[in-house]
Formats: sequence, C-alpha cells, structure tokens
Amino acid sequence: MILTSSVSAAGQVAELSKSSAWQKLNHFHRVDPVTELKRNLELFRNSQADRAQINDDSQLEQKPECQMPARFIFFKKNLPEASSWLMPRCPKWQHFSQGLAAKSVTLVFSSYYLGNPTSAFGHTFLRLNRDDVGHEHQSLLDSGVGFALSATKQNSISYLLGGMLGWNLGEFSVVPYYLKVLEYNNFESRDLWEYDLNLTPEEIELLVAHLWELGHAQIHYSYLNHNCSSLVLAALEAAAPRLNLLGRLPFWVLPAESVKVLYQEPGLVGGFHYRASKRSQSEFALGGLSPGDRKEVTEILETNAAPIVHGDDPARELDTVIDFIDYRYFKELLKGDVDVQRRKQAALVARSQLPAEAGFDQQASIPAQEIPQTSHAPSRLQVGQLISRLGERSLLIGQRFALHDQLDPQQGYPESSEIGFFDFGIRVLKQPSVIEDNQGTIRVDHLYALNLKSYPDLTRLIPTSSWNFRLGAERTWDESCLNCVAGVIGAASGASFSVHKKLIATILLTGDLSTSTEFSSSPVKSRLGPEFNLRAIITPRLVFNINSTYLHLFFAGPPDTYRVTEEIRWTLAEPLAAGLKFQQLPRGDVESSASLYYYY
Amino acid sequence: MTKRFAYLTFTAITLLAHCCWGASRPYGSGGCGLGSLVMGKDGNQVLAMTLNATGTQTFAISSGTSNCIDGGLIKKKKQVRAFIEINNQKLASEISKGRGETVSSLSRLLDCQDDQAFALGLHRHYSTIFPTENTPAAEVEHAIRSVIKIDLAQICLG
Repeated sequence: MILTSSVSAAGQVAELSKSSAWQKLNHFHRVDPVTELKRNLELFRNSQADRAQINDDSQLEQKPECQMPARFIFFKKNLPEASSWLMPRCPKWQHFSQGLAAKSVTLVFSSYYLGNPTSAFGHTFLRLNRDDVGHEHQSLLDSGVGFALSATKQNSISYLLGGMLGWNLGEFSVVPYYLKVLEYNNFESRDLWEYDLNLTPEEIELLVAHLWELGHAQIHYSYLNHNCSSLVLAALEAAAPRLNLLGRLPFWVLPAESVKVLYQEPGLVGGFHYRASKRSQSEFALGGLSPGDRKEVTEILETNAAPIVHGDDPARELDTVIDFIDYRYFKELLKGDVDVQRRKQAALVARSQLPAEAGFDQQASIPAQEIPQTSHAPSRLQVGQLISRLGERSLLIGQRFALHDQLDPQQGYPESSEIGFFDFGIRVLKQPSVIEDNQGTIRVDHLYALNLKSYPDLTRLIPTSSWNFRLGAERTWDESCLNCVAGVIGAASGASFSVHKKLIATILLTGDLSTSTEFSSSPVKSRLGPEFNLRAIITPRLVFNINSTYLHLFFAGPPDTYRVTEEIRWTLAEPLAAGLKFQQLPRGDVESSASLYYYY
Repeated sequence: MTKRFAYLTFTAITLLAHCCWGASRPYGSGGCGLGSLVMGKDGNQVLAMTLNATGTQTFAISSGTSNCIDGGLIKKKKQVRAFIEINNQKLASEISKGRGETVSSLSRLLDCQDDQAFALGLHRHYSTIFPTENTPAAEVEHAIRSVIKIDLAQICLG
C-alpha cells in the first residue's frame, strides 16, 4: 500500500514536472524541471511540517512559501497532498501583493523613439491596475512592472557585449505608473499604447506571485531573445499557461511583434488605449486653435514674451502655451532653470485667473496610421532584376532582419523614421558592365549593420533636426574605386519641411568615412557634401522618394561625385510589395531595377 | 579588408546593443528584489530616475521622505508627498487649468470623492498653492491640505 502510494506520488511528480504550467513557471532560469520540482516540493513539505511558532518577521520571510508564493499556488492547485497546506504569515509578500491590489493587467508599448537611440525599437512592460472599488479608475496610480538590464559599474563595451551575448543580468522592477508616464510621455515624448488583457482573477493572482519570485531572481539578459518583451510574455505565460505567446515568435523578440502575438490569442486583448506624448498633445492643442490664436501663441513661445493673450479663446491659448513649455522645456524645468520656471509661472498664474471650464479639454486622437499592431512584419526579402546603361544585368537579392524603411508600407510606424538592422543585398551578375575588368558572378551591394533615419518635420515651435546614420559596408559608386566593397560609417544632419506630412523635403549635410584594401591611393576615403531628399506619401501603401547627393572626396580619387536616386514602392497586398528604382551615377551610368519585396 | 569589416560589424553590434529595446534603466536596487522601486544611492532618502543611459540627462527627485519605501512600494503615508514631488510640474499645469489626470489622481490619494470638484477647488487657490515658480513639494502639500480644510472638507475625507 505504501509502495503503491509512493509510486503514485512519484508518478504525479514526474507528470507535474512535464506540465507546461510548471515549465513556464521556470522560464527565467535553466534548471532541470524534475529536479527543481522535487527540490521545491521538499522545501514546502519541510516547511509545512515545521510547526514551530515563528514570530520574527525576518525568519518568516525565509520560509519557502513567502519566497515562492507562485510555486506554492501551483502545488496547492495541482498536487492533492498540498491542498491542505497553509500559507504562513508573510509580511513582505502580503504587503507587496496588497499594496499592488492588482485587479487587471495591461501591456504597455512605448513607441519607437529615434530621438534617442536607446529607444529605437520600442519597449514593453506591464501595468498592474489597481482595484478602485466605487471609483472611476485612475491609471496613473497603477504600478508599472518591467524587465531591463541591471545597472552595473563595468565598462560600456563589456556591458553592451554582455547584453548582446547574454552575460549580463537583468531585473524586474516595479514603479508607480505615473513615473513611467513621466519618463516616456513627458521626458522622451513617446506615445504609449496600452493593451488591456483578459486574464482571470486566478491568473492575475499567480502573475503577481510570479513577479514577486522574479524580483528575487538572477535573470540573464540578452538583447535579442531574453529582453524586456520576451520576459514580459514569459511572465504572462507563467501566470496563464493556456497562452501560447512566445511559441508564435521567432528566436528573437521585437517589442512591436510581442504586441501582435497578443492578438493571436483569441479574446486576450480586451481593447487598447492611446496615451499621447507631450509633443503629440501639444501639436494637437495648437491645431485646435483658430488661425489668429495660433499665431499669437506661436509668437509668445518664439519670443518668450509675457503670456498676455487677446485672442478668441484666451484660456485655450494659455493651455497651449503651458503644454508647449512643458514639452519643450521639460528638462530645464526639472533642472530648475529659473528663466523657464518664471515664464511658465507667468502663464500658469494668468491661466488660473480664467475659468477652468473655458480651456482645452480634449485628448489627442489616436493616430490611426501609427497603431503598432497594424505594422508590417519586420523582416524583408527582396528579389529583383537590374539593368544598367553600361550593360550590367544582375539579379538582386536582399534580406533585412528588421525593421522599417521609408518606402515600406507606412501603416504602424512613425512616418518620419527608418530603422534598419542587418540589411544586406547582393548582385548575381549575369553580365558585367562594359567598363568592368574583372569581378566574380556574385557581388556585395550593401551590408548595413545599422541604418537609421529620422526626418521629423521642422516647425516654428518644434525645431527638431533631421539626421541619418549608417554603419556597415557598401559598393562604392564613385570613380575612385569602381565597384569596390568598402566598410563605411556615415552620418548626416539637417532639417525637414513638409506639406501635411505627406510631402517631406529634407536637406542635409552628409559625410562618410570608408575603407577598403582595394582603394588605390589611400586606404581611407572621406566624403562630405549636401544631400537632398524628397518623399511623397501618395498613400500609405504607395510611396515615392527622390534622393540627390553631391559629395566632395578627400584623400582619394576624383575631386567629387554624385548620385541621384528615384524610387517608388507599392504595397500590392501585404506581405507583398513591388518597387522600381532608378539611379544616376557618375560615368553617365544609369541603373534601373524592379524588385518584389516579401515581409515576414 | 576582412578584419576591418569584422571590426565594423562588431562595432555595429555593440552600438545596437546600446540602442535597442531593453535599454538599461539604472534604477538603483534597494535590495528588496522586485519592489526596489526607484531609489538612488541614498536608498530610501531619494527617489531617483536616470532617464538616459548616457548619464547626461539625469534627474533626481528628492522626496524628502526618509523611509518612504516599504516592501517595495511607497508607504501609504508617504504616497501623497512622493506623488507631488515627482509630478510637481504637471500638477502646477493642471491646477492652473482646473482639470487633468494628475490632479484627479491626487484627489484619489487624498481620499476625495469628487475629482472634478477637487480640481476646481485647487484651481481657485492656484496662487496659494504655487506662490512662486519653484515652490517646494512640502509647501505644495501643506497648501493643498489647507485648501482642503477651508474649501473642500465636504468631499475629502482624509
């Protein structure tokens, strides 16, 4: 009988250790699930058998039930012998759980932010929503829970390399949601997208308990596959093993893709909300003024004049002045810049003397074209055919790991940004041009490890500069080294102007450094000159771009060179797009190509 | 060429590593695991956030509330002070306008039953609450509590 019972118990343990619920609870560390389960079970059994009265809180905190409440819940639910187990008093855990008072859960996506490269791909974290019985919910008082690399004192290279290779540790942290909003909406001026999740009360209870366990854990961080987004999804799966989120994603996890998989679980997303950045809200408020009021507000802000308004709607004018000061001078205000503080105070005092009801009481509406879950897939395959005036005929093959360029379908991404990560293209030569003297049949066209562009509209009140940056290797197109492949680092800075954000002209001063053993006169070549770009968003699925660059060469080859590129891309039906490209190069050459693009 | 390219690629990877989604948020750890909130080197004395990995855009918000963290969360008694301290700029803007999400949240923290009436009440006393351009949070809190006693006692229980 005893033998039968122990065999049965052993079978239960083996069965439980194989369950997805147990395996998902252990997502954050590499352990043998059977060994881990046996170890945890023994800890709990011993603790439950220990009837000694403990009054000391610090000793209580050492009890396994207090350190691993999620596992305790798991055993209580799944193991018959655990059904009678009692939860001891755990002051810290209970304070934490009761303090959070989580009633529901929201996943928050903080949008792409090229103004600060640390945020280029976006970010996700959870919001645990408080139980506000009898009140309208105030989400600022909820708690934000996120996973990020731990701060360390190591040098930046080892810190970053460690993050790439998974050597460094990350940690979960809880902060009041108002701090998250302040950080993203105000300080970085990033829009927040909030996705309400349909989880059961039991799942929410398990999530909070699991997060408590994670708070005590050492978790390795890897930028590609063990990052903020993957850990958040894993925590959700641990709380609700019915969910299959990570299984729907490739090896790497991008924040926006982690939002999309939420929608692949039927009924998981109850709805989403948009929380406009301070910039978006300020622009929206300005757009809501009459032309005369807008002019007066612009003059006040441009000249730092006293906020004396005479327009049609003084309260709305002052509201807009205040919004812009908060947006543009957020850092100065925090640092205590007296001039800015005084200007703001003058506007606030003037506004407080007008009726509250008279002001601007609208929130910026959802920018339908930037809804993250509607974006195209990040990876892209390109196949095309190229012919040139000088006789080249080539097959073009390209592959981009991520994420978006300015001719891709515009839906789901900020219109002004381009984020390229490991984008390469080759030419398979069917016939070389008449001026070439060698070359194999396969030639590298480009390989960019990183290719970023940010061309936001420069307005009178928001003087944001435009810039681009690329790093990698590319085929040279000047006569200093015809068709050589050179390592390159390039950057540009300038300004963009638009008509209704659909016709965007950008003027830049651009330069690059390139190096190749094939360069004849000098191993390093530098170039500098003006660049002009004009992009027409005819529809979100049909975009035309023309780029003209003139560069003066230093240290090598001919004194100058130029390139004019016209390109149009049409999204036929996602995931397919077609494009035409014409490129005028020195030597009187013109390359024409037609390509198909497949997003996946 | 191959070595140069490898070097460039390596540099790109490390640059990207610096720039992607899991950007470090060097919140100090208070040694209490998940609940360490955002504390600076002074432990519970300071609520601090470093908002840029470059370290050039750091702001620390002195909460002036020692021992305000308990079990990873702000102590209930310290919540109002911490909220005002961190949201001081937003509160000033919203109180001058007489509405807003931040002032409504403060209403909730102060156990007030009518967010709109609370915001309007503070709006009427803007110059009392923020008499100067850099009124400290402690004085803001004191002034708000005074306004509640004088003008909003009927809707605020705290």
